[in-house]
Amino acid sequence: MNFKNELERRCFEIAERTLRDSVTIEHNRTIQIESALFPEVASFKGPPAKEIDVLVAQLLDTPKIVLLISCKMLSRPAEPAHVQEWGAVVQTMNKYSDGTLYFGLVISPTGFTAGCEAWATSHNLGIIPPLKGRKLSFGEETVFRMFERTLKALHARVQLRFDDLKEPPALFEFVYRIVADFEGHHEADLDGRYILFPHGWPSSFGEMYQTLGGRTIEDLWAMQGGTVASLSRRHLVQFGGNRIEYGLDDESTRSATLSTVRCHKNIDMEPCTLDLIRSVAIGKAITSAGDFGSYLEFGLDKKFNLGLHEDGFHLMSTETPVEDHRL
Amino acid sequence: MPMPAEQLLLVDSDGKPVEIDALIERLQRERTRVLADDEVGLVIYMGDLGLYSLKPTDSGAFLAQRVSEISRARFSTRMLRKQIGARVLSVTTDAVVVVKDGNTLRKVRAEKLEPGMVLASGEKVYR
Repeated sequence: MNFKNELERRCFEIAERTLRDSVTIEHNRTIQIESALFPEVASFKGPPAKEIDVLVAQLLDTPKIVLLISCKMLSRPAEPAHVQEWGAVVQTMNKYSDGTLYFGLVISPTGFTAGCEAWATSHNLGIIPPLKGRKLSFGEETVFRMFERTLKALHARVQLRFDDLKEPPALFEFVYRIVADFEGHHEADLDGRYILFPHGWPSSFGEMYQTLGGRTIEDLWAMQGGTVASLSRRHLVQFGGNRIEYGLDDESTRSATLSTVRCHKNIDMEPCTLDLIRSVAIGKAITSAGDFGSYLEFGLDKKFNLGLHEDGFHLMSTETPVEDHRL
Repeated sequence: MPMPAEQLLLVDSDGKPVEIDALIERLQRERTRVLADDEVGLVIYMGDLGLYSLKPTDSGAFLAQRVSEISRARFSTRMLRKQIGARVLSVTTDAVVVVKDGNTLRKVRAEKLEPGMVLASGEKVYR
């Protein structure tokens, strides 16, 4: 397989991985309409033909649905003429189709100029990355992730229903909905404090609490560079100072536990043993959470606060009067 | 899509409200419906369920639009409060809104909505 540039190669690999063997790439391919039995396309040279570079992905066998992908590797954002040209190709292929439905997609890692959207919506083309009214810069890897997500989603979508995607701007809007959420994700990704196991996906405090809230503590231990709470239904949370990892416990990330752990109890942080903290915390459910930067604190059964530090734990009762509820 | 779509109200064909969290949890188990479920978020197809999103208008009536997909981003962008017509909405800064611009329509991000702009639906932006 020959590729004109790195963008084509990556897009082909992604499409092949996503859709398996229904993907081909062709350079200077002369595309011809499927049905030439229309007076308006009759000429002395035969039906119209055009040479293009195209990544072809078949999304559905019956009826045949084909995605025609144009990979634009440009030093500047793609211009309306690029989108307009692809719109004309897809529109002509559909107009003189013999039963095949063609969808069109344009990928330009350097983005698109503002005028492209009007052409993409009127020709019902998907564009990656999306245009959102201000200049957004996505890295090349993010654009490839967008492409992969779009292919997967479109492939799954046409198995369920496809006729409603034919009318402009339904496909444009569909692709937009699939890739638009990368903006918030991109911003969160830069922070990198919360990581979701087992995929290693960037996460947020809200999602962490949504996942862990209500689970009971099953064990506590410390390891090099952090402390860990094992939770019910095979989950865990690991606090490592500037990184909080949580999610499904596949036990592959566990390292040796430390025998000496700094533990404190009560509001005045008296030293105590890990056994004491375990004896109170284990079996209790997480009812609140707070990220205080240097430690992560969970409310347990609305009666205790359990803190996970980089080098140990703290535990205190939240009931009043304080003196009557010391541990 | 003339309105910011962040405050989603879903109803069935009889007009009965649908609880969105429970619906997503139920549909998520039907794997063929899941169009995307990754580090960016979740997108579920629901075009065959006959569900509609309701957009309140100035007159107090609701405009129903059929919903084909519902997405839940794992990260959303900053939220804004905007008064559009008689309503005050919470919208993300990147929500796309269609406004009238002379004789044409134009898309703007919610963060660029300014008092005095008129949406494609005819509602005015107050603040």
